[in-house]
Amino acid sequence: MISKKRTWLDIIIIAIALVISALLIGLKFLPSEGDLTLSVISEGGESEYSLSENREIELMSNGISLIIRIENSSAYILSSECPNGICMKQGRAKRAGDTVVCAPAGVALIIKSGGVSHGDAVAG
Amino acid sequence: MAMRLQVKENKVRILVRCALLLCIAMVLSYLENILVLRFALLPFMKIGLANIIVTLAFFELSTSEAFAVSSMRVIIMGVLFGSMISFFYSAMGAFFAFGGLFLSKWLGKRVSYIGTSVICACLHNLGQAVVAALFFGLRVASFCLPYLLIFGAVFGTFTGILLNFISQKYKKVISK
Repeated sequence: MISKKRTWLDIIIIAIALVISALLIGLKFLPSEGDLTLSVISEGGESEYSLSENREIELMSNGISLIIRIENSSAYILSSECPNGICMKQGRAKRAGDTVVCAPAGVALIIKSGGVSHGDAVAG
Repeated sequence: MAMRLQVKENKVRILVRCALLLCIAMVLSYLENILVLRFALLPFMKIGLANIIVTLAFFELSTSEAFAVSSMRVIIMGVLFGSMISFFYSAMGAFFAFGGLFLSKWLGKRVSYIGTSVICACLHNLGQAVVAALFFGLRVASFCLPYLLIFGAVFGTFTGILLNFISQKYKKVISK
């Protein structure tokens, strides 16, 4: 049986969870080297786009239609036909490691550093 | 004969108690679904209200009853309101959170419902991050995990405080 009153270990557990998450978030903000690229993972596989060029990408994944916009070196989901639309509220991904996910469509936008690998690049 | 009737009555009592807890857990899950649609910043981010019922059942009743309530809730909510992917998120989260309950049981009196809730919430979110890693890759999971851990700590503390309060009254009502 556990204690009915708050204990020191409770506070230590909360502190451990917060410290681990702060460290993981801190790692994301370390400066990245090289050009940033957008990697789009969907039902059809992974595609990469340069963040330096403004454009809109239309794609269909898991029967859900999405429009992704690259604008001012950042990427976000402009519109999605997914049932809850949480992906559109996630804001812009602009730093290396930033991610926007549309779970119902199985789509993830991930910012990578190091430039587009031309073998996987998709035009249009 | 009287003993057989007694055993049968006990089984019916357990069945009814599980059904009652399942109903409460499902109502709380439904409320969470409404909240997640309106306010969530990350996919499948929830407060964890339904876990209050599972945690109470685990510590105040029995492991098997808690497991029955947890697994049936995940299955029924998945069939009624979820998609295939949300079912996997819930199932893995519930599985990891159940592991957290055993960890808390092992810690015993050193931890209260607050610590238990935080452990379960963080492990629940870790389970969801594992599913995210399987579906979207490690990079997506590593992005979501720190935020999920923060939410786990905050909402876990909130549900833990609720649990500390409810557990005082709960046994009197349910165990009768």
